This record gives sequence, C-alpha cells and structure tokens, in this order.
Amino acid sequence: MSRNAVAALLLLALFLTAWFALSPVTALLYLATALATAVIVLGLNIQWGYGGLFNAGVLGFVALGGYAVVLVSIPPVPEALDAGGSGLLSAAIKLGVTMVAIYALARLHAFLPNSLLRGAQILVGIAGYIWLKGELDLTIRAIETAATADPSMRGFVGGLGLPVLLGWAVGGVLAGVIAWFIGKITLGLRSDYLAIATLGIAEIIRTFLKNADWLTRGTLTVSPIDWPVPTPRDVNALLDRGGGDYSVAWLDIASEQAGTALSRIMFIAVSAAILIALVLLLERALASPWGRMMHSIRDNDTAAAAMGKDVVKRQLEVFVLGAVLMGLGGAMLTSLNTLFDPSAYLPPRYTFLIWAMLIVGGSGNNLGAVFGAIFIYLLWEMSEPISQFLFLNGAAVLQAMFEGWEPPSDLEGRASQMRVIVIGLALLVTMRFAPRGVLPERQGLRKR
Amino acid sequence: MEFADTLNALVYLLNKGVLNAAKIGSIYALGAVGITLIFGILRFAHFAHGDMMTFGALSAFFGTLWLRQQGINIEPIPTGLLALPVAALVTVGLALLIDRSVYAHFRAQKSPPVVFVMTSIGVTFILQGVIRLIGGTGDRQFFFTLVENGERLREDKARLLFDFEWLSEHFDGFAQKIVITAPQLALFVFTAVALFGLHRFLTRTRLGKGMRAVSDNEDLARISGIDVGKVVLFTWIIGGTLAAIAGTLLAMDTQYKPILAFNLLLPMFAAAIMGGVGKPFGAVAGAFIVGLAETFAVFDWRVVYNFLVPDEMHAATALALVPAEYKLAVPFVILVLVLIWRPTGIFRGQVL
Repeated sequence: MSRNAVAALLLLALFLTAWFALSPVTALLYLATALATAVIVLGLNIQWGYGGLFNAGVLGFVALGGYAVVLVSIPPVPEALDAGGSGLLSAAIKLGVTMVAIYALARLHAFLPNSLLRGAQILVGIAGYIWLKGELDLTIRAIETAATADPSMRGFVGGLGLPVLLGWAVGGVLAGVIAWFIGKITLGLRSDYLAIATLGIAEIIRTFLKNADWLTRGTLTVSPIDWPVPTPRDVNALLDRGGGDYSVAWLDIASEQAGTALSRIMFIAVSAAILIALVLLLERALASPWGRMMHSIRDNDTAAAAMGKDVVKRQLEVFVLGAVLMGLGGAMLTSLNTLFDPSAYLPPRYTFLIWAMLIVGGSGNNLGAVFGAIFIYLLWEMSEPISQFLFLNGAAVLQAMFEGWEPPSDLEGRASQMRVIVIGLALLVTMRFAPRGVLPERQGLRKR
Repeated sequence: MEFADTLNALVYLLNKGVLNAAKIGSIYALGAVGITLIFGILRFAHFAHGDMMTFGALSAFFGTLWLRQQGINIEPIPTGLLALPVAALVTVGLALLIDRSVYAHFRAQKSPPVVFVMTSIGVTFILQGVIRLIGGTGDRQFFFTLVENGERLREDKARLLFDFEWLSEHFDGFAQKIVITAPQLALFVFTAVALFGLHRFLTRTRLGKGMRAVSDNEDLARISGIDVGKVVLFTWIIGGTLAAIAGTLLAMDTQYKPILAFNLLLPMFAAAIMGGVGKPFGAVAGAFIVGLAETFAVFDWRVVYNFLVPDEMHAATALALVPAEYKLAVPFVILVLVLIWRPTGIFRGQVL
C-alpha cells in the first residue's frame, strides 16, 4: 500500500473515532475546520516548501482574511458612515499620498546612496503618520460618538453587506495586497532576520485589528457571520417546519442533530471543492517551468540568479501567492466560526501550529501539507477530551488508593493542557524519525 | 514656571518613565543575551526561551513556598531571592536535559537551522503544557504570609522611597517621589552584575573567548582545539541562569502567570535581532532600545507638560505618541525600521 493510502486511512480512522466517540456533529465541525486550516497550510507550503521563505507571521495574513469577511458581508452602519465617511476617505487619500511619496523616493536610487534613501523613506513615513493621525483621531471620535439606530453597533462602521463568498475572495486579495507591501520591505532579509521581521509585522497587524474598534469592533467581536451555504440555524428551522424524524441510526445521528450535520456537510463540500481545486492547480504549477525555477531558487538562489532569474521578484511572487491562500483560509475559518474575534489570533495557535502541520505533513508536498493540517488538527482537538477522561479517571483511582489525597481543584483545566504536549511530542517525534515529514517531497530533490 | 515645577517634572519623568523603561529593558536584556548566545553558538532561534523563563519563575515560586513553610525568612530580603539560586539550578538542569535529549541528536546529524527551530517550537509546546500541568493555570503572588491553615495572604513588597526632603525644604511645591520596590532593585543589581560578569567572561577567560570563536566559525574553532561540547554546555548554563533570573524577578515584580514570558519572547527576539545575531552586547543595546521605545511611545506626557506650562495652558487629555493598546506593536515597528536601515542589525550580526 502506498504511503498516501496509509496516511488517508489514518485520517479516516481518526475521523471515525471522533464521530462515534464524541458525536457526529462535532466530528463534522472538526473536519470543516481542518479543511479550512489546510488551505492556510497550503499557503505556507508555497512560501516555505516552494520558495524557502521563512514566514513566521502566518497569523497576520489569517487575521486579515478573517477581517475581510467582516468588511464584505456585514451590513454597513449608515450613521457611522455619515459621521466619519468623508474623514476616512481623506485619511485614505493621505495614506495613498504618503505611500506614493515613499515609492517615488525609491525611484531615486540611481542618484542617492542607499542608506540616505532608506533614511529619507523612513522620515517620510513618520511625517505621513503624523499628518494622518490628527484627522484620523477626529474621525474615529466622530464615529464613536455617532448615535446609531441599533445601539449594539455603536462606534462601528460596519461592512458592505455583500455575499459572504465574495468575502472569502476578498480575504485572499486583501492578504495578498498587504503581503506585497510586507514582501517589498522584508524580502531582502536573510533567513532568521526575515522570520523575526514577519513575526513582528504579524504582531503589528494583530494589535491593530484588536484595537481599531471603529473598524473591527476589537474585543467586542463581530457576529453572526454568514456561511456561503445555509447555516445550521437555517437548516434546523427548515427541518422543524417539516416536522418529521430525521435521525440516521447507522450513522449515530439523532433527529435534532440532523439539520446541523446537513449544514456542516454542505460547508465541508464547498471547502473540499476549493481545497481540491487548489491542490490540482498547485501541482500543475509545480510541474511547470515556473515550478522548476522556484525549486532552483529555493535550493540555490545564487546559482539561479547567475542563470538570469530575477530571484527577488520570484520570491515576492510566492510570498504573495502563499499569503493569498492564508487569507482565504482565514476567511473560511471566520465564516465557519460565525465570529470574528481579533484577540483570538495568537502565535501558538495560528503560526506555530500551522508550521507544525506543514513540517509533520511534509513540506514541499501539497498532499503532505493537507495531510498534516487534518492530522494535527484532529489530534489537537481530540487530545483534550481524551486527556480529560484519563485525568479524571486517574484521579479517581489515585483517590481510592491513597486515602486523604485530594486532586488539585483545577484538574480539568490542567488536563486540557495535555493537547499542547501531544502536539509538541508529535512534532519532536516527526523531526527525529521522519525529518522530511510523513509524506515527504517527491522526485528526490535534495533535502534541506 | 518655578524651578520646583521643573524638578517635579524631572523626578516624575524619572519615576514613571525612565525607571519603567530600565526595568523592562533589564528583563529583555537578560533574556535577549541568552537568545543571542544560542543563536550565535548553536545557530538557531530558540523559541522555547520564554518558557524557560516561566519555568524558572515557577520553580522559584515553589522554592519560596517551601522556604516559607520551613519558616525560613531573612528580613528584609524577599524570600523569592533566597529561592533564586535553586531556581537557576533547576532551569539550567532543564535546559541541559532538553539539549541532551532533543537538540544533541540534531547537532550530531548536522541538521539545518530550520529543523532546530521546529524542534524548539515542539519544546515550547511541551514546556507550556508541563508548566500548566504542574503549576496550574492561575496567577501566583510571590509576596505572601502563610496563615495557620496553609492559606496565603498577600503581603506588600518591601520598597525604597526617595522623597528628597532636603530638596522640598529649599523649593516650595516640590512633592514628587521615587519609589523602587525590592524586586526592581534586585533586578537592576542582578542585571548590572550579570552583564559585567558576562563581559569579563567573554573577553578575559579562555572559555569565553572559545565561545566567541565558536560563534564566529565553528569548524575553525574546532580544529584550533576548542572543546565545542564544553562551549555548548556553558551556553546553556549561561542562558538558563539568565532566563531563570529574569523570569523570577519579573514574576516578583508583577506576579507569576503561565504566559508570563511567552509575551516577552517576541520583544526579546526583536531585541536580539535588532542588535545583530550573535552579538551579546548588541542584544543588550537592542533590549534597552525596545524597553525605552515601548515605554515612551505610550508614555502620557500630560503630567510633565502640565508641570512645565502655566496653568491656563494645561492639557486635559492624554498626550501619548501612540495609544497604550499599541504598546506591544512598538518594538516591532522599531525592529522593522532598524532592519530596513541595517539588514543584519545595528552591530552587523551573523547571517546563518
């Protein structure tokens, strides 16, 4: 049996365990989340596996994708736009002017020494920030104080009120556009410097989204966010009207879960279609001259440059392409959760876990990336109930054995920490025994 | 404007601004030096460093608890400081255990840096789990008195108060004070001693020079007869000790939390990268730049300003460069600006 088949069977076994040991709807939720996460991991695979770019700022692009769904699908708040719309427009124009000025300075590189040019660009940037800040502060105050018909929407500009599927696409585009700017700034940096710079920029994005209450509602979070398919609530309402018995005995689905299950299956179908299309496209790209060129740049950028390849431009290309997928995946996740919560984007969950998925799955191999995403995500979710079970029973056994021994009162909270230990161990074991991942890169290209 | 008001403004600035910046800068410096040494000598970004700090703080907390239970207490030294040596030993032990069981294998295989980074992320996950497993998920105070049933009551920190009486006698209206708590004082002393000691060690001793040699070029150092194994051992000893000191003193200054040092990890990396990889004193400079920048970017200048201008010009709203919520983003803005200006850090660090 091929390695791929074994891996697929392993995933099926994990999924069925979740289905029958936990509940069908839970297993479906895990699978839907895992598929959306797999899109993000594919994006990282493009950046690292194809391009050799150490991006430690995955969460920034995921968060941007999540915000794009809010921007597109949430209805606008007219009162806030009346109060601050013109101010926002003029602030946006000022931002544009500043960026054009910085870009124009870069065109002067033939006349100015590099250090002077960089310094001038930084100064123009700071001047632009001060120029913009005054107006923006006033506008934000106007938005925050504008009375709204719906008091819960006070101080929030809302979105555009368009279909959510468009929001997914915009998620990819927004992340890609921001990635272009970030790439322009950082892609000259080498390995670890690039990693920490991207890590830092992701923190800046996260802090901004978390605190720009007028734009994102910050810690107040935005919900509900729509699905491209009927949500569990819609389907349940429909089934209630039908009034029949919808239980499926051999699949262990109770009647009241049927609507949720059906809706989640539709979501999974959409996600799976997107994922399969992406994998096919990426496989084609990898087998094309472009893919071979990317390999050569990744493995030896000096040699590739000597052959006349524009290394920096190609790296910018993969950086943006990867970010587009991360944004798309982030948008899908936000939609699935029906909630945009900027403070939930934390590095362990949205950067390091994504890296663990790619490394365990096998970087440089798209199927490996998908496998890693689903496997690690299921492991991540399922290690919690399993360790709860083990801990509580273990404590009961210990109590029976040693009289007077009391388990710590926060035993459940402590047991839920086992999941990070499980993921850490999975990562260490993979690195040790299969350093190129469970499904390694094909073609015997030299390992990194 | 009177001279007393100028003094007021100065002392206020010193107390609320400079002191805080120096405090957070010292914490960053102790951590960033370890990170940059590991970066330079073992050649990878050690993501588990923050959790080693938390682990140090946790062991110091258990040490403090034990000492108090034994009734050992030397006034006016905070008990946490008495537990610090043991905490440092335990943290170094943990670092060496991790090195022997995880990193040594990849070193022997001559694995590329990204393998080390990924394993250190794995170690981070495991350490975070272990820390919460044994220490629980709640906050813990270092300053407490034990009452009979084993409960802990919070206790005030010992503090130094400079109220400059001799100045207020001369200048009417001068009323500002400087307050330094015992953990802060300990932090400044430890940082100064540790950094001075490290400088002497790296420049004067055979082993320290060997460490710098390995950092510059490992193969060349090896054929020159430098014991690379010993250098690696001491890298972990120094890194672990500094991490335990920083973690414990930070926890004593505020409180112990399971995410105590993970929040510090990113600014510490910013500091190490800003100074240039493998440059210990670059990391110290980076740490204080980050500390100063993040303190003064969100510093509310209103009080200082109001001391300096006539009453009718007083500002009513906060006068901060950026809103306080953006404090965490400041180090990274500085980092990105520095990297645009100098792509390998202020002191031109290594490229791995």
